[in-house]
Amino acid sequence: MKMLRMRPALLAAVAACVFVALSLPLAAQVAQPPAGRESGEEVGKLIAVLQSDAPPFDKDVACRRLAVIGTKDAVPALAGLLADEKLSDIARYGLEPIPDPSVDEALRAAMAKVKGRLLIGVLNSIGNRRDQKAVPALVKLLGEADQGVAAAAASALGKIGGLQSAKALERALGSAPAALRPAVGDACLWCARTLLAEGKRKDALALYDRVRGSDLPPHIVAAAARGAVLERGSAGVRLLVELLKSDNQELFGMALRLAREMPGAEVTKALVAELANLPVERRDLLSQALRDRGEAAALPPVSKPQGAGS
Amino acid sequence: MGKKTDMTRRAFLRRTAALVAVPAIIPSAALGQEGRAAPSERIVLGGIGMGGRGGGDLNWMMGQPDVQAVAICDVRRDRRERAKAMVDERYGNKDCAAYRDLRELLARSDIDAVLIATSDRWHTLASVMAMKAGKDVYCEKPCAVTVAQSRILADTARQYGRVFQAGTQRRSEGPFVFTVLLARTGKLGKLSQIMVHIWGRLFAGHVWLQPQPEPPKEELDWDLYLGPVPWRPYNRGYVDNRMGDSDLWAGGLHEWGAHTFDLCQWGNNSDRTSPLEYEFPNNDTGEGLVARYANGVELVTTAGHFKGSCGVRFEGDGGWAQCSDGQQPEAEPKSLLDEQQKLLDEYVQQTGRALDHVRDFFDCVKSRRLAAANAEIARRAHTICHVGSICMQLRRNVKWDPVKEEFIGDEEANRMRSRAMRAPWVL
Repeated sequence: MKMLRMRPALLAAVAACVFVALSLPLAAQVAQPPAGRESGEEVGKLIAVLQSDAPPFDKDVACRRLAVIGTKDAVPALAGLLADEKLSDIARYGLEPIPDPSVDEALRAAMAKVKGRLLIGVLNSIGNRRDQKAVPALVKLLGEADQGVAAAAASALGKIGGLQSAKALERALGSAPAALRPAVGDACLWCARTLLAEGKRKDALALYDRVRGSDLPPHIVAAAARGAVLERGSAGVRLLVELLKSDNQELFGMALRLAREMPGAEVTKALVAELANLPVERRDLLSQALRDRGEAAALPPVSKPQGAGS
Repeated sequence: MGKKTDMTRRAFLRRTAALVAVPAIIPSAALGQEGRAAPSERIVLGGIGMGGRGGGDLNWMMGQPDVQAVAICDVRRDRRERAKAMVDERYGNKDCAAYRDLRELLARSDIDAVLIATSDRWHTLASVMAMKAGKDVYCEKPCAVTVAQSRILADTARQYGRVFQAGTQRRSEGPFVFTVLLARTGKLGKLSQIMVHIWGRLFAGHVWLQPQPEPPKEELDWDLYLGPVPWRPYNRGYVDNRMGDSDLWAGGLHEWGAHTFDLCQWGNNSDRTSPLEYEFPNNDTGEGLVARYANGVELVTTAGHFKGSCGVRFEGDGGWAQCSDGQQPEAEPKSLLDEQQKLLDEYVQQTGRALDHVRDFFDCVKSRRLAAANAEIARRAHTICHVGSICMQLRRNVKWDPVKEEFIGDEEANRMRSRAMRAPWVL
């Protein structure tokens, strides 16, 4: 099968840059360049490839290598490809790992220059890099007519987190079209996690409770219920019992998972107390959860069935 | 002890034993025709990625009395048709839906669980999409190709309370379970080394084949075939040999290590962590890669030694034990082998788990307990695949912090923990 060939001069430069060791059945291994040495010179050559009229494959290889050794010097050349339908994604592949704020500036600038699928990609990279400065622009995109873009904006806000993101997502829960609401609900869950990581438990709980009260698919409501139970500490036990009693299978299923996750004697006591109130099939499932907690001894004795022999 | 108390205690113990030892929670009264569960008791299943492995897994799953497959999905028409025919033949009708786009299958509210047996690059993305759509997931290995993917997979499973089972089925195969139990229960003494099997090529290259006209989407959807990996022009060669390119195949350490590292983790009681140091073996085959745990135990890779594939060998100061595919366990002292049935019976009794990976998954779908090879376990075992691969790619020793999930003092390696996805896909 004929493979695309790079120009000889570029081949010499780029062959040493391929960061995945070739392991073709009949070919010799290609040695990797020693990590960290002469990388400045190498970055320069890779930038030159991106800025030339080299074919797409050469640029693809250059972007991959820049993902590993690229510096801020490479950012303009990579960013220059963000509007290219075929190379935008590999350009982001090269940009995302570079630990320099110029990447975030370039991605923010690209938001105004690209549309549709390419914009979705840019927003995804902004979310992956957790760029707080992009939040105002992302909030505006929550109301975008292109629902793929709006969903990507929601997802990015969820990853970036913080109070501003949380408030915007909460508003969107009420105003977003029905088809978009699950994506917004999911983003709220991830946003709540970041709030917890920042020590903002009260705000996280408010967000979980908001999601629980929203018109969302049951599994998303159940996920929010999980957060609401776990972050309430001992006050969460009452909510756990409510979930056990719920007619909704997703909520009951989440209660079974929480029954295994939440430690403590108070939880065991509440679960055991609830056993008698459950229908038989649910009682069996909760009993199994109690055994998984290591609490088989807490299970109540079973009454002798009527008519059974001794 | 009075007679009444004895009867009460015996009745309770019988009931408890029944609930522990019989994993399938289907009252006999609920069984329908031919021993199959009544429709209301069945788990409704979809299969995504219907190549050889996917078709085999789906067939295994349809053999469960409480499972009903209703839909399949594949980007290739030939595979869609073959899978639909297989499902229709099983049930004696033509009801199986066939989709090209997994989003359509995942949008079905009647589907409870999905099998994901696509190529590697789709595993994490499809699993996360499925869990966010409220489905439980059985996903073939490797479940992730980067550190970031492994973490997101586990976080999503936990956040949504979904049952996730990695397709590392040797966690449920008697001979392997027994070998691991010998290590875990201290019968080999203090462990010092675990040899694990890897096989074949370590990496694929990165080449573009000559562009060809794309086939009609219904024949093969090239856009969906690529999925999250960067664009390249179509060539049939990628489809016929996915192991020819690093975007399409994760590499040998993922291919085999997903199984063998997992068994090593389990035997070393390390399911919540992973090795700290990786020593580059000064070759391109990966033979003799050493990964060292905090407890001093060394994982050593080898392509030789074992008679069958996916071999694992535990060595301690009290003996050794090993097993590989198609082989009975071996051990020293040999008297340890006499304990096989006893240890397995105790394991089943204590855990309530079936020695059948697919059965364990469906039991957990019903009970909501964590599966034998759940997402958190897969995350840590796959970390060895990711970190080991990076060690080999960079051709130097690396140090890993399993708590922060980052390389220590190695920016280059840290950059390789994640990869941007082709839009519109995102995790």
